Amino acid sequence: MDEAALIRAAQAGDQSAFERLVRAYDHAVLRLGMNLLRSPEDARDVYQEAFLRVYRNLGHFRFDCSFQTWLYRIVTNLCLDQLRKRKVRREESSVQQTSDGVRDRMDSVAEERAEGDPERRVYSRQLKSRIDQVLSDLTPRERMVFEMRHYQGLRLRAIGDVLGATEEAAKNCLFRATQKMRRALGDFL
Amino acid sequence: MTCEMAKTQLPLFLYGELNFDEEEAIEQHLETCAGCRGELNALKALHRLAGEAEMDPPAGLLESCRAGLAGRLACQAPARRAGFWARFWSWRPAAVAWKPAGALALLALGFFAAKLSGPAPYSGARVRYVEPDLNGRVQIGLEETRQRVLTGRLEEAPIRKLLLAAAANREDAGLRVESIDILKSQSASAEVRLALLAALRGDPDPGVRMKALEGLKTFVWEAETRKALAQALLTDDSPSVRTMAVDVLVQGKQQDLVGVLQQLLRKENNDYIRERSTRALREMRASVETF
Repeated sequence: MDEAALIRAAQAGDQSAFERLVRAYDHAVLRLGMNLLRSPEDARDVYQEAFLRVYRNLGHFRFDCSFQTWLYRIVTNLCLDQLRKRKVRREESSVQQTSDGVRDRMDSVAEERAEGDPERRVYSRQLKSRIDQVLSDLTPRERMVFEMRHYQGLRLRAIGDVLGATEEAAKNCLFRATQKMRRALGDFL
Repeated sequence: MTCEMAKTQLPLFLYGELNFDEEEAIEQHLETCAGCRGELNALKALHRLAGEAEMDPPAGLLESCRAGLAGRLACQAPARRAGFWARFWSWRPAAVAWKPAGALALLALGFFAAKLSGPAPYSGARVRYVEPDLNGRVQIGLEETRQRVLTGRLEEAPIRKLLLAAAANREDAGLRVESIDILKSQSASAEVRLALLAALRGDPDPGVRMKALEGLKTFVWEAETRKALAQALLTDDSPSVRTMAVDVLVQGKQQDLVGVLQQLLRKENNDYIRERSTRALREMRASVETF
């Protein structure tokens, strides 16, 4: 069954079609949430809320754009809300208090990726921390465009569609984001 | 072209977002300008670093998200449908809670039996004869199949045999997803691995193929598994399956992957998969295109 048929079946109330639709995109949605928010808890919230919204509103989907664009619009709006809230509340700290002292929730992720090599682990942690810092210094919109282009591989035109902006605006955002990262990561380059 | 103009276009040049004429102009400028070539190299290094800092969701997060979503959808759905989410979705909470128990987990086949027979009162029965009686009524002879519930460990031969049979049940995709999901923790067994390879190669349902692929991840070094993953990457019509296949295959960066990725790039439309393949080829110092 192709995607359009799957969507129509899901619109008609076929839950297994809806399930297949979720499965076709949920890995990418979680990856996007994870990279944008850099917090497993927030990524999980966005994942669930996004697919709940899809479930509730699928009946209104009229094929005016691709399903992926529609879904990513929902996901990026949820992520933008999260990022803006963080900016307001200065909630950027993913730091938590544990019995071993203060610990960053994302350290465990970075450590897994460093594959046990102590030198590489230190380097990976420093780099991760610097990149986290520079990403949090980007505006939510710049961050969104960079993440979708760099990690999700979306074309700028599609990113513009997702964000309700022109391709030109997406280009400018990407340029600004790259420049800021280039400056902030200068000594790693 | 001035250096200032070139510098504003270099990020777009690296992402392949310039049109033919713009790319030509940049390339000409780069041939004569060492400063801009240096800037391009710095941007390439930035790409590499940002790639290294990419965050994959921690193990188990996807399963836990799916379980949570199934729970929330069950609350949303009208009463007659609520059971569906708890019953049909392969990522229902019960399935997730079961996993950590691994080999010690007990398997109840009652769930499968219930699915096979369906909810209607006589759906598991076969009509043997029909006969009208003298009062205008009808007598129907039914042959009913009794359900049995088997409980056992995954390592036990009868349980595994039933699971393998359920994994090959062409009638019921949900049952196949459930079965492969359970079997994938036993991929060290050759017969299970064969079932996973068969599901990845030929199951019509992408959900089943995804589960099979998850089970085969740890055998990415095995020739037969790599062959099946490469085939999935090149021919599977589901972007999710191809995405997972490329993610698994590029981990090893084995040389046999180069030809597969180059072949893939000639026809792949999915941006993520193209990006991942291109990056892997560059990391392996292989050309992105074949000539």
